Amino acid sequence: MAGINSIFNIAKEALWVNQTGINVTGSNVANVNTPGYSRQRAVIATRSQYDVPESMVLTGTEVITIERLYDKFLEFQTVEQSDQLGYANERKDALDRIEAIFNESNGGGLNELLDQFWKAWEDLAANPSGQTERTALTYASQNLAGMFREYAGELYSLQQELNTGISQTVTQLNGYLADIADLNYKVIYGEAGQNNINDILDKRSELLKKVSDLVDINYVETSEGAVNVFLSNGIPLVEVMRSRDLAVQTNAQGFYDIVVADDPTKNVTSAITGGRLGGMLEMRDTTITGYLGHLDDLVENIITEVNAQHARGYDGYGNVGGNFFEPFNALMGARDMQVDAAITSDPNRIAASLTVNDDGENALAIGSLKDALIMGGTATFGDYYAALLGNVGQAVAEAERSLSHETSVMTQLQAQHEQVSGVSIDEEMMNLIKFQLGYSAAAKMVSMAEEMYVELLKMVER
Amino acid sequence: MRITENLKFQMLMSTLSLAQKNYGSLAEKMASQKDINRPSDDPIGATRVLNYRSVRESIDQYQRNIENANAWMEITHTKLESVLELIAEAKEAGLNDQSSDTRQVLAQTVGSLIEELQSLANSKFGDRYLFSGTATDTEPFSRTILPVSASANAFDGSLYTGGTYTGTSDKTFTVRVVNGGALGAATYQVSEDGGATWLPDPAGTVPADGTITLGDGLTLTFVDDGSSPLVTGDIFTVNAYESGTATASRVDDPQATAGNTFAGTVALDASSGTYAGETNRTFVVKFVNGGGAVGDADYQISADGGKTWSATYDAAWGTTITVDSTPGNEIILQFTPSGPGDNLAENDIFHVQARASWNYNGNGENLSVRIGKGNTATYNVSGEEAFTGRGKGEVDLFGALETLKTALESGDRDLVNEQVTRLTAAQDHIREKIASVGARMSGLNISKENYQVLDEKMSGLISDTEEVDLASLIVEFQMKETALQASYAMAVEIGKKSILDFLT
Repeated sequence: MAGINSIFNIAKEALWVNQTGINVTGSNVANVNTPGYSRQRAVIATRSQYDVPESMVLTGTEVITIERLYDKFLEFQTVEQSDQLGYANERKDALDRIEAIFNESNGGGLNELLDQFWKAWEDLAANPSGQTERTALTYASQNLAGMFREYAGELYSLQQELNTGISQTVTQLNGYLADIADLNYKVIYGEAGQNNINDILDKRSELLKKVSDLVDINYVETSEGAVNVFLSNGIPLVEVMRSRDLAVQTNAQGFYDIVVADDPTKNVTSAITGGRLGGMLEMRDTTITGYLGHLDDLVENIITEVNAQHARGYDGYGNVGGNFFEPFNALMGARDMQVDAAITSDPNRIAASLTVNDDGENALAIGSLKDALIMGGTATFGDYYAALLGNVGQAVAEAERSLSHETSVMTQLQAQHEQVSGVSIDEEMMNLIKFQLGYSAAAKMVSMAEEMYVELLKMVER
Repeated sequence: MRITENLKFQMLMSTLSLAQKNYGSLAEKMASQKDINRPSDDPIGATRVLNYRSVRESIDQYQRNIENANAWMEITHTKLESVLELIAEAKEAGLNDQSSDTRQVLAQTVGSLIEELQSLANSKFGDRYLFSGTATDTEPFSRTILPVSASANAFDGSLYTGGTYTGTSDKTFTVRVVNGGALGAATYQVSEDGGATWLPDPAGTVPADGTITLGDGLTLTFVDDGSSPLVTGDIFTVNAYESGTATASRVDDPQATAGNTFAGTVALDASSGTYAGETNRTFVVKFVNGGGAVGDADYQISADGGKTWSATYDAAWGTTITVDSTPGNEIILQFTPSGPGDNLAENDIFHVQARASWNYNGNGENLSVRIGKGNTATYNVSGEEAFTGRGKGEVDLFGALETLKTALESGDRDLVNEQVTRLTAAQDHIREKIASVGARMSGLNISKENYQVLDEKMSGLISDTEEVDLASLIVEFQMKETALQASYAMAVEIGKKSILDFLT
């Protein structure tokens, strides 16, 4: 038969369990706004009292574990989505800046300067020996070349900036990977030592999302509780308690390739197609390179055509026309387009005429290049530039749509995560009341058991 | 579904930021009055607007070109009208009763008409000569020292003057044939005072080459290419003007271009003939293939000022290059290096102006301007076409007037009548030119009006594409504003309700 002591024991257990419940509620309330925090719950179960006969009903209670409410599959999806979102974010950022370079909405851009350039030639054709017209053409040409330099130069420096960003991101990524390896260690030894590792698991999930924001990864959880992280091509980044650093290495184009730090022959650049790094690489190597290529193409054709026609004419002195622009093959590309120094220093060197008699016919011929279908034989210079601008606009609009789509998917996933793991104050308050009541009841049991003892002792005194 | 605190705030944040983004983009549209503020707002629209703007710039340029051409033709029209009046006056002088007293007065009238025609034909539009063809920097007409053959003359060969007149005032030389005969046999005398005194005495013999000396640096050359030789009593008159040009200097001195490397001299070779072409031409020699020494450098020749080139001549050529090889009238350039090693470089250019008309220095080319995509309009009338008997011209107007003046002075009635007939033909020709200028102007005006309509359409298209519809924008703006206000109100309310309000 169970003694009064048993009542004390049970009450003690009840007090303990309810107090733990209140503690857990306290943790939840305290972390209501902590990012990555997963709600915890005390798992309470009955505990049989083995020192009493089975016929006696005497069941105690205990907290088996502090459970972390978490959905592993949701975590997997969220990590996956993080790389999509990081990629979309990076593209949108870069494209926004490209669009700002190309913005012609208020005029004053390349298109207008191109028009002014052709107009200046036609004005010169109407008065081939006019100094005003010659000087005006010189300025219009310098403005045009300057604007091409500005556009291409800004694209080029954006490309350089992204390149630097890639190197910085790799450093950041290495830090995260090292942290994951460290947390893996704590998980393994924490679990072995039966310590509460919920907050470590929360931190590790957050890190996985951060890594995925930077680069597209796969990960698996081992039986001992560690996560192993791999690049999309299977190269391991974290193996149990060891992380593998990535590094950058300058390639033939002068840009950084991403390689494995301890084995620089392993080039993993092409394996990175997602996350911010993937976005940066795509912007740097495909998008901006493409736009620069189009600008170069346009500039090369303008220079070649104008120079060729210019060489067919005669300048104000009767000389055969020299170069009007510096030849394209002497340049680094559109970002160094220049009017030939001979023209800028002496506008009479402009070959406006088709004969030595100052007839203005050559200026007319150059002016009519405006409408010539030169680009690929199907487009004028203006059309080609407008199409390039249209491409940029489409790309930005597409990037914006894709970003808003990825963001809304992420919001959905976060909402689901919140439903499982988030803290609800209402719920916690209810739990608080519940455990408070339980605690009061257990305390009542103690005082009743004490009274029973007093009664019993009184019996002995008599 | 569990609704947690974070979830509530997350939902609130996303609706708030969406409302603000919509509100912001509408506010931008309101401020800029544009639907397209960056290419991504409407990529296709943005591309179209660029094209429309380029088209408008082109239209603007075409309109400017048309206005320019119209102004040019307007002045051409006025000047030609004046020429027409001038011809009428000259005809009147020719048809007048011609007593010996009035003849001198009439001759003076014609003389002043010639000067007036000179200034009309040398009119400028801005800095450019109206009647020079494409050589708008060159004064088209210079005073010409012109030989006139009397109508009663039997000699029907041609004649021209040569040399540079050194006299200080205008003068008339008269030549009479004392004894007729072929060149080399006939004798002549010259008078500088209208026939009072004759020199040389006894009469000189006309040399076999036909060139006799008049005095003051002038020569007169007879070319016996007709059917009748010089006959006793034939009279020839030469009107010499101060700063006038003798008719024989038909090929100018060669010009070297300023940028040439060659430092030596280039001159017309002594064996050069006179120019035999129909219209004025610019011959150009250009050295190619890296140039080289005189006699060795490869070259090309152009007879049209440098537009089209001959094949490359790469044979040794000594010191002379023939640019015009018409037999008997070759134009030959003589190259003399300044010293050893003075080589011709690639693209060294030398040009020679060859003039077909005695007094016309321009060319017969057309000035044109673009009035549309691949569409050009000619807007000038060249002096050759209007006032000379060469190329597209029909009547040598200056020649007719000079001859009329001389004929009036000498009382050569037949010659006067002949000139009146020429002037009548000239009147018809100038009228025709005036009509063609008028027709071109009205054509350009139609294009200009079309462009005005097109320009309005383009600006309409641009505003349809990129400008906002203010009414609908304002309605939309108010809707978004309401949505934003509701989001704010919700944000304030959402934190207020909690179980905590009911716990005591």
